[in-house]
Amino acid sequence: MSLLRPKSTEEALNGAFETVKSRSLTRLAFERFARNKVAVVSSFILVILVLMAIFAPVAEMLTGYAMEFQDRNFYSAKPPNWEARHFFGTDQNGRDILVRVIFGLRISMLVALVAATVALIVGVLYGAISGLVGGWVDVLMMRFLDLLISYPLTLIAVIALAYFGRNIYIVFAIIGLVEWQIMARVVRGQVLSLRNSDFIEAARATGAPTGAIVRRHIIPNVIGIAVVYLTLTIPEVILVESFLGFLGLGVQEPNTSLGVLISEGATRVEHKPWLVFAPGAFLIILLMALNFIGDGLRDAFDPKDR
Amino acid sequence: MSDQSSPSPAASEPLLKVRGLSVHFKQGKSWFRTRPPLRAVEDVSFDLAEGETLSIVGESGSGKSTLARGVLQLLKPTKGQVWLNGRELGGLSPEELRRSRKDMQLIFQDPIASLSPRRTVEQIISEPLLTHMPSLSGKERREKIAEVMASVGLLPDMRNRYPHEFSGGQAQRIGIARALVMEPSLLVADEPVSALDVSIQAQVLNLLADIKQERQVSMLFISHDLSVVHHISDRLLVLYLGQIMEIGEASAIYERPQHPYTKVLLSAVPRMQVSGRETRKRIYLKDDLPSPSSKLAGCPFATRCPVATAQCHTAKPALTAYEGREVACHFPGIALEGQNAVAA
Repeated sequence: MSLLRPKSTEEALNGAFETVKSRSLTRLAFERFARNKVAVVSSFILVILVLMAIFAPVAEMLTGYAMEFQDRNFYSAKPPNWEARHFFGTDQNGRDILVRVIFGLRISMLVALVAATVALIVGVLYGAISGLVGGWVDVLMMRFLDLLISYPLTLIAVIALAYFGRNIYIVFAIIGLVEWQIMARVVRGQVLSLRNSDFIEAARATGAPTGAIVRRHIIPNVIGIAVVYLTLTIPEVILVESFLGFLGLGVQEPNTSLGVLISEGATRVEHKPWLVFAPGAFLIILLMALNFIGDGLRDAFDPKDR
Repeated sequence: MSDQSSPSPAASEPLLKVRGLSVHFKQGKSWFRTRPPLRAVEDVSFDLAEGETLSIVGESGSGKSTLARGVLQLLKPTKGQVWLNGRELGGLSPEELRRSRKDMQLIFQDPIASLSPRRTVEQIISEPLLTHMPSLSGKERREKIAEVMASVGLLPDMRNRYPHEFSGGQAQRIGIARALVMEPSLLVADEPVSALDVSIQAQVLNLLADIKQERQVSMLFISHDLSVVHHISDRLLVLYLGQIMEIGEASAIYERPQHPYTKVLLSAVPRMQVSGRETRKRIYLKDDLPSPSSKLAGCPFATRCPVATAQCHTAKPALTAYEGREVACHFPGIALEGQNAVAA
């Protein structure tokens, strides 16, 4: 038996091991994300857009036009005029488009934040419970999701807005309640596969209580995927809000959102393209940045690419 | 304390007593018919003395892992009882069972998959300590972890590493450390080396043999590979379709297998021999394992046995004492050089 014991080789291997710095999976994921140039640039752009939305009143100060100010000299949608500091032109009522776009960005991002938070909390809880409890509870919860998903969002939105009146909070609630379904399904799938994994069985075999298993093993392994889907949900939420705004179901004047601005501009795009240019450009940049970040995060967290 | 040479001690109460253990799996019910249950383990009884190692062997699908999980109550047995240190595990409340798990630990087949990918080695090994000895201070816990890591051949500075940074053999040492840290009286090793390279297998087997000797721990060692089992086991349990075919002292079974199935299994173990001098014949079986959901009237091995008779297909042989061990065969010790045996 002693012949089968190459202790020296083993120790030599162990020695070589010491020089390697240890890195956690989260750390590795971060390093992979940092190597993804598109994702990093997108992150910078997103930070800039978020700052613009937060400090929207600064735009009013810089251009000298308040969001609701109607410039008598620039009524009925004039093209960009640098001398008058209407950098992206004005709308039908002579209001500065750049300022309105930045305030619209603010609303769009607020909707995205609220709806994504709702999606994250409700979706993760719902999916985790469904996957963990399993059995007929799981079947019931998932069939309820099927039922919800089979109703078109527009129909729900129109009915709710007609019933409760046009209110930004209703828009938040509707979008959040629709978007959590995908999150719930993703989390449930992940929990199901985790539940049958060896290391969960190992934890059970050591006698760890269920609460500790959820805390130490399930949540850390679900949170990465939940974050990825969150970043992919946000663009969808912004699109849905824009779509509702386009249908005239979104925020109310004088408040505006990117979707509302685009829908107003789209009706006159042939004669006055600048009406749609600025809000369209901002929306595209925002959505692309979020999508690239989401893709980058997904690649970074993918355990297959170790 | 029994040592390796003495036969199983019948006088004192064994550490682990398994009686009539069956684990059946319900199969999908359709609206038109109910499928019969899958009988993964059927009426298995055995004892395990303190410090003894019992190996469970059998081909894939014979119910080895299910038997292990049934013993540990990770799968609820359909029938039968398991006593550990005189306590009947099936009668415990879930909370009591959870607490008693510190005395019985499991080592897994796939070492990397059995370790949580987002936790460090120290966190992984500390899990049983946090569960069963929550009053330990951080320092005491780290000391215990350092001690057990050293005993399985892991270096202290590996404690902050993550499972994906280890090779299979190292990961299995972590799994063994986790199983040993509570100093359990029963260790269940479910194919602990079959996922490892052959060169690493020897290291891990040596480690398990050392542990067995130093700690006097009882071990259920599961393997499909008889050559792996040879070094480590005191007794051998041969499982086929979830039922015991032969059980007894390992050396006796190795030298003189009495059940036809054991003979077939042993004939498949590669051995070194002088070239050109074939001393034994390799026996091949024709078909695959029959479905474990069909209830056979006779001996479970009858459908593939080279020497089966009409009696074998109709009457089930009981496990009876024969030549110092127990064999479930109507014709124990029968020679296989018969009509149906296909020689190599």
